[in-house]
Amino acid sequence: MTWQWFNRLTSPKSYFDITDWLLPPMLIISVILMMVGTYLGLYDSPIDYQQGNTVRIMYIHVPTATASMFGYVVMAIAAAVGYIWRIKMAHMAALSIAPVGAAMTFLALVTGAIWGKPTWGTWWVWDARLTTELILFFLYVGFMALHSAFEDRELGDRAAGVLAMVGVVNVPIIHYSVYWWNTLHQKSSISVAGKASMPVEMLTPLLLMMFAIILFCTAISMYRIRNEILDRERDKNWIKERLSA
Amino acid sequence: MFKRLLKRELLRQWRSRQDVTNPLIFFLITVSLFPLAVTPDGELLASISGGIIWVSALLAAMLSLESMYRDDYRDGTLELLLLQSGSPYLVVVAKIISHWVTTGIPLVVISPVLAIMMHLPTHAMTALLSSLIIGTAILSLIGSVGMGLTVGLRQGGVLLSLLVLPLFIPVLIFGASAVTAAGMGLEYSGQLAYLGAYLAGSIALVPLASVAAIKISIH
Amino acid sequence: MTFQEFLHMGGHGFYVWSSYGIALVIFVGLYLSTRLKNKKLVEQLQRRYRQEQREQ
Repeated sequence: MTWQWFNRLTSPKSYFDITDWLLPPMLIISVILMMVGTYLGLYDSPIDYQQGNTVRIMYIHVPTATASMFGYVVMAIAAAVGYIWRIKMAHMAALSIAPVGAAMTFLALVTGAIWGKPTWGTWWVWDARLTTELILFFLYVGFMALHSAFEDRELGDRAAGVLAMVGVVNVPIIHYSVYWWNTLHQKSSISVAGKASMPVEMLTPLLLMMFAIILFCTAISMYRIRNEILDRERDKNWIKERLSA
Repeated sequence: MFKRLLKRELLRQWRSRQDVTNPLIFFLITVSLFPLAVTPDGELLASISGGIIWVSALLAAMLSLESMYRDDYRDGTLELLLLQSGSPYLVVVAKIISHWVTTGIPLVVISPVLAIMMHLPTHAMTALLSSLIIGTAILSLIGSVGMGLTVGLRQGGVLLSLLVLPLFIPVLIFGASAVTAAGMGLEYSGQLAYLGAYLAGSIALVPLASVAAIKISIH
Repeated sequence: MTFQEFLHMGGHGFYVWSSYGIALVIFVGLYLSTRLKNKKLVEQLQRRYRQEQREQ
């Protein structure tokens, strides 16, 4: 009985029906929250007494970095579920998250570099977190490149799935080793996220942006899954009926 | 059974000897390029020699990864071996060991020569040898997963580096650091311990992942 | 704070605005690319279904 319910949940058709009414409000709410967060971050929040106005970059850099790491873990879990239980929707989910996660990683790297220039004096610093983020970007790109190199899409799903699973085990290891290597060579103490105790005027836009950006990424990923479904299930009757209407 | 598999692999590598000597020559040339391009100053070279030797060894070992599965994949032997040899894991392990013995170990053997060229202090030699022995073994292991995933693809070679290198970075960090630390007279047992742990973890997980990867590629 | 001061961001205007600007481009880009792909797929499939119907 419960198996039927689960099956209905992971069926492309019911996913399509659900996202029909779920996606637009998700997108709209996330955009509104992002606008509020940006307003607070750019206008209504205090400057850091050391970094001045550049601390406002934190409201973009930290949420996108968080989203990129969160995205990779979710992508790896989806890929694992797809690989182990051979659920097509799971593979579609992993594939849809990848470009969004890669975009967030890219954004985190770029804003990190832009933030670094006035704060540390150089465009790039081999800070443990930035370096791990760079490697994470390679992992995302590798996942997408491997998948697109396969002519048979389902084989590509499984191959990329193996890669994602191997990679996710490695991410904490990479971070630990980079942190260790970085503290070995560190000449100055750098704290990217600012002091641990943040005034509430800074915490609010930060948390707001984090929630908004993650919600936005989830919505975009879910939107991309719809495209995947259209592409892969194109011969199914329910799609023909839906599109001819 | 395993002995037969191993013998077969080693014989195969021996027959295409240039596959074995090419990485060595590449290793030699690459390391030699750095003093020419950067500086012949002995002290500066010594401080970066650990990293340079490690990166060059990594690149050289990666060059020969293709030979692990490609020939057998092309003529169908890989599929036969995996399905009919009783244990696909033994097949993979035999190939990994033969790759390490024919590529990794020769690299380790000539590394002291390169260390001298790079003015690495002699008391760092043990660190260099021990870290490289473990490091090349890990590379053969990780490379087998990457190779398994890309063996059936046309542009596999380029993709292989993209897949393997991020996974290898922790090994590179700790391996090169062991050599550099030894060069400065510091303790390096922690780095070696880390490498050993990474090796143990790879030995446990890689055969599984490799067999899964190859099964996908031979479909 | 005047609007001029707001743009200037205490001398760090370039850094702050380029960060938010690139972020905006990427977020809008993510949305537009997905939506474009959706439209393309729907058109492609509709064309195909119409063809199939005609052939029947």
